[in-house]
Amino acid sequence: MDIFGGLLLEYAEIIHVLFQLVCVLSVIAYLLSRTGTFREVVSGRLTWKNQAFLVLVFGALSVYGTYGAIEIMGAPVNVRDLGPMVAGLLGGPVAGLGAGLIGALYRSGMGGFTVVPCCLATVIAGLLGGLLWLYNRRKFIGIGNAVLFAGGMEVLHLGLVLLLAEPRHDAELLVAQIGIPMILANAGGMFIFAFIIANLISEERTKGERDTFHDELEKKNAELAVARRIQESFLPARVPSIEGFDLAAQSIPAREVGGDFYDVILRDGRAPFGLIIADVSGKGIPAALFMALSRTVTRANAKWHRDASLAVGNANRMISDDAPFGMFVTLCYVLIDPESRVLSCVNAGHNPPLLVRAGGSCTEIAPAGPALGILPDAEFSEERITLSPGDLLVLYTDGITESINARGEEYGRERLVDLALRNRGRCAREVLDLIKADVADHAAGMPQFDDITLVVLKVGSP
Amino acid sequence: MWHRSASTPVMNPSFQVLIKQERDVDIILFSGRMDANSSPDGEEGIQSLVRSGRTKIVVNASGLSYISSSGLRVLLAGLKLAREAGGDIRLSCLQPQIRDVITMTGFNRIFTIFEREEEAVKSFLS
Repeated sequence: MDIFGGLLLEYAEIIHVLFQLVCVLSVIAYLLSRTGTFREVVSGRLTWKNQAFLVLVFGALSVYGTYGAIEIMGAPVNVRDLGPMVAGLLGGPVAGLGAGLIGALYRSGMGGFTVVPCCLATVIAGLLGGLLWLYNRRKFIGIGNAVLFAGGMEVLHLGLVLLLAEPRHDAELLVAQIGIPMILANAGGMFIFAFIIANLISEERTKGERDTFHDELEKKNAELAVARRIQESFLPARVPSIEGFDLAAQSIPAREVGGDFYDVILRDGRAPFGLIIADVSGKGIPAALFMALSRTVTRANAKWHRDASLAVGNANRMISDDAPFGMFVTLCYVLIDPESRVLSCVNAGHNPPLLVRAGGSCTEIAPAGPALGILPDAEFSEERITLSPGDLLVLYTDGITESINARGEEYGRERLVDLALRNRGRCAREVLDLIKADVADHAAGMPQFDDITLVVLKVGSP
Repeated sequence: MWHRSASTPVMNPSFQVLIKQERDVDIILFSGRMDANSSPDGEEGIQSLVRSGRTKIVVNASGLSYISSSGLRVLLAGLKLAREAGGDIRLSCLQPQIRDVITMTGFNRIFTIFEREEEAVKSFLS
């Protein structure tokens, strides 16, 4: 056995023992990370109680780092500095110094020729850790920096041994022997603690972000609920009853708020009454805002003008002036004289309303002008039809006909016409509910893609 | 050659936006369903062209199977932008169901519509 082989064996044994020590430290670090107090410290809540916790726990760790050491030429190779360093990096100079003093006190009881530099190094380790924490604006300095600090601290530790330990020759021999294992063991131990601390910090931050996001989401949902109630207040609170007619209407937005609306315009006595159905481009909040504008403008014009095409034409000019981002609204305005039963319809780019005659025929009232908001100077012509008792008028939005099932098939116009024809004898509410149910049946559990609105008018017997 | 619009991420597998250039005309090909979920992709496609000063745009709708009011809004917003910048958006290759919606809403009165893509491109070049 030559000298080189012997040295290698000795090194292997030192590293082996230190490695066991590091394993024990890992378990301690992990268990610590599960405690509430440690988590509080990591997220920056440094009460006196928490600092005392750091001092005691990492002081004890320092003692353990000494106790679990192996002795080479009477000098323990150890990770005593580790505890105070971690305490300082996490909790500042007070915590670091406290833990360092505990470690140093224990070390001083053991004696040996390196007792002075070793005790001094342990105290300095805690203090320097704390100063680094202060320097980094009271925050942990990160994994890489912590490991560098641990390595550097051990170099300092060994330097102190060379400087202060007597006899000088023994000190030099000792440092040559344990220098590298000391640096590696402490840097490795620091890596374990720093890794767990960094993970905890990012965990706490994620948790904080998630909580904030959750709070914001709840606030948004509450706001949307209010928005929905406001929007519902734009629709008639209840469908008015009109002598000689049977009327039902309903609007179901696909999201909290929607872009469809309907309106009933009543005038004094037996003057013509108006029905409006409309569909604003897009969905959700943008559509809802534009719906509020369109609804107000059309209602005001419908109330003001006795002539349906004039009302729609004027509304179009106003909406065109204010329409941003290509927003537009398709709308159908039906004016009915209850005395003569003459219907005047202005269809501005909207799905053609169905007129199911009592006799069993069905006609559509095709658009006679573009959607509102796209051509400011468009003219709108009106179609006049005389209604008979038993006739059924169905106004709808494309949410009905374009409702798709799992195979991507649209509900379509044909199904709607067919259903209306077969049920033309029923009252308005029944017809509306049947259409709603049939569309839901067709979609069969698919989410509602678009707002759905229906206005059904049945002409009563004279 | 068709290429994907650089600024348009592939977010909706049911809707694609492809772009090609022919001299100073850009042809934008929409395929699939252009609804509330997918039309932002189309909007970004058109707007990125207009922003970069390319305002002579032909929309090839041959692959478009459905367009909702959200999709129409995107076309109209693009048209307004392009015309403000001295350009235009012209439509081509409308499938029957798309043509029906365009006609019903009166969009045929504000858009110039061509049967074939080449005709629309030629209308810009002449």
